[in-house]
Amino acid sequence: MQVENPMLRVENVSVQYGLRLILDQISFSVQPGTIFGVIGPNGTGKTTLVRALSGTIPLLSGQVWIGDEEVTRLSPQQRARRLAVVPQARNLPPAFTGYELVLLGRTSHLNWLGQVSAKDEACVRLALQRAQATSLADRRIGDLSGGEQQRLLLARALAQEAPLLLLDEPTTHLDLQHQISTLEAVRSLVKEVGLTVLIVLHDLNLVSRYADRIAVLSDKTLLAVGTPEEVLNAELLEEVYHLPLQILHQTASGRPIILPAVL
Amino acid sequence: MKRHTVLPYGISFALLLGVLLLSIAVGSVFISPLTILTIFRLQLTRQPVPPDWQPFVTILFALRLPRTVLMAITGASLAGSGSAYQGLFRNPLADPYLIGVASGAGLGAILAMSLNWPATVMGLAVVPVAAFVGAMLTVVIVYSLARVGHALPTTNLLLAGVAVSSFASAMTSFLLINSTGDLRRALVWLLGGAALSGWAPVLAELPYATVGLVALLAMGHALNVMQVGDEQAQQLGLPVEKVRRWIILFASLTTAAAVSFAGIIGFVGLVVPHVVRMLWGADYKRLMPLSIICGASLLLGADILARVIMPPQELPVGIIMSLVGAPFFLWILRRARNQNYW
Repeated sequence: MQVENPMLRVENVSVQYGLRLILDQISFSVQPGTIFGVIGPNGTGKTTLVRALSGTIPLLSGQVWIGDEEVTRLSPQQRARRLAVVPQARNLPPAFTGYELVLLGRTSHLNWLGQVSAKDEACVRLALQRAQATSLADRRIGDLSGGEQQRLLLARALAQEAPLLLLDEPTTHLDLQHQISTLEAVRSLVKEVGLTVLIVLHDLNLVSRYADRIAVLSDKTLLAVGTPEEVLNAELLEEVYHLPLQILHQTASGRPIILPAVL
Repeated sequence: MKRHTVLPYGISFALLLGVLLLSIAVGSVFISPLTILTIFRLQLTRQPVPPDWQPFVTILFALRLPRTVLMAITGASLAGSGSAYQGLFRNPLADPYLIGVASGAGLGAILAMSLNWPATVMGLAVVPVAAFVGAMLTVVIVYSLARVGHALPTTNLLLAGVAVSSFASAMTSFLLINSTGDLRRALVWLLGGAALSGWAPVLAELPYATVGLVALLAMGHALNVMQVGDEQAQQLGLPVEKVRRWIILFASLTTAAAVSFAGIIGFVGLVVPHVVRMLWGADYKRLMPLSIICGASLLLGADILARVIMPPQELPVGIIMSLVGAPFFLWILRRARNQNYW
């Protein structure tokens, strides 16, 4: 692999809520133009990691670098121009239209009066198109399904025009077809627009199929980082998930497939 | 891709214009709108007014017009601050009256009146400043009492509002009873702005209301971003804490402006943003200006009613607003359960 300056560099990051340590000395880096998957059982701090990277919670120790800038030294506006988050779709304002929600992605580009220029509007339209959400622009958020809301959140993040995209379990609410189409859309964004993506996923087979590199979080710490072939082995995953697993290698994509080897 | 933008403004302005004219026309003597417009035209072009219209000129310019303008500014201020509080707290029941900010502002104002504080200090009218301080203190107290972590549950907000509001009202009564100052002025004020007359209160209220409303108008996009919650708002690039402080500051200033000169009038800030949101959507860049226009119309309408229901007596406009607003509030309380359009 060609060595470049990483787009995202996480150095010894620890996070604490109250007295409870959630993340312990996490370090990894993500190369530009790649998809970096984060997996791990429930409650191992995956969402906390996304929060820590996006600068919305204080770090106990360590540093997060985007390019050559340290995240905590950036203002919210500067941060939003470098890094966009696709959160899980929950508690969105139901009376907003899809268009109005995606327009919020332009916040860091607007002046203090919040005036929307023709460029902002064009950017929103392009983002809607790339997230396959154009048909949702005039619909009320409250009338949309979880999957449709998720696509609008992807569009909102794209409207930020940030080079780095963090996705927190974007396929949770989606059926199989939309899981695949969402991740295909993310992959083509990486290829065509050159975005760098960090994606938290529960589904091991999806992460195997789409991620260039994978980090395994388990019990606050990073257990392994590597390519799908390196990381997705039965021994490691059985240790993480406490479940006998079977790994298939003869697949069209060349990526491993993970099956629970249940009795 | 965008909602119709011109029509809502057209309708709201037409409504406001109609109510303005009606408000000037209606009273112990009815002056027909046609006569009013003719007098305006003559005055503007500096032509003499027919002698038998002279009394009308006096009534118009010394009584009706200042009262109408005062009510319009007050209604606009209450509706503007109401939509700001609703957006800030992400709660459909936030209203300067229900969350106690109006009572807090009232306490501040009464404090200034009953203790015979000087009318102005360094050119600043003391009553609105005291009301502003009262409003700010109340909103901070209610917010910190009602907050659970980052959430602000409706029940907590209303309970804290009721408690703080009762306390402020009790303090107000206590001050009135023990007043050493001009009690009549304070009592008259408590009944609503009706008894205030002339241009003095209008001129005193205008700068505070203008500053507050213009600032709130500039915060439309920020209020929109706040609707997705603190964490996402921050990730979208909004300096959330700073924005929250500015919104509290200007919404409280606007409330204080209204309360200082028109007394405590409830429900305008609740009803208007709701109706506007239902009709024309939740985008605060449109919701805020439309609420301000329609708030003026609503309070003017209530004031007209207050003048014509039991002539020659005039009811305090606050009573009319509560008669209309309380049932509306109950209806929203029921609707808010399914969060259908909020």
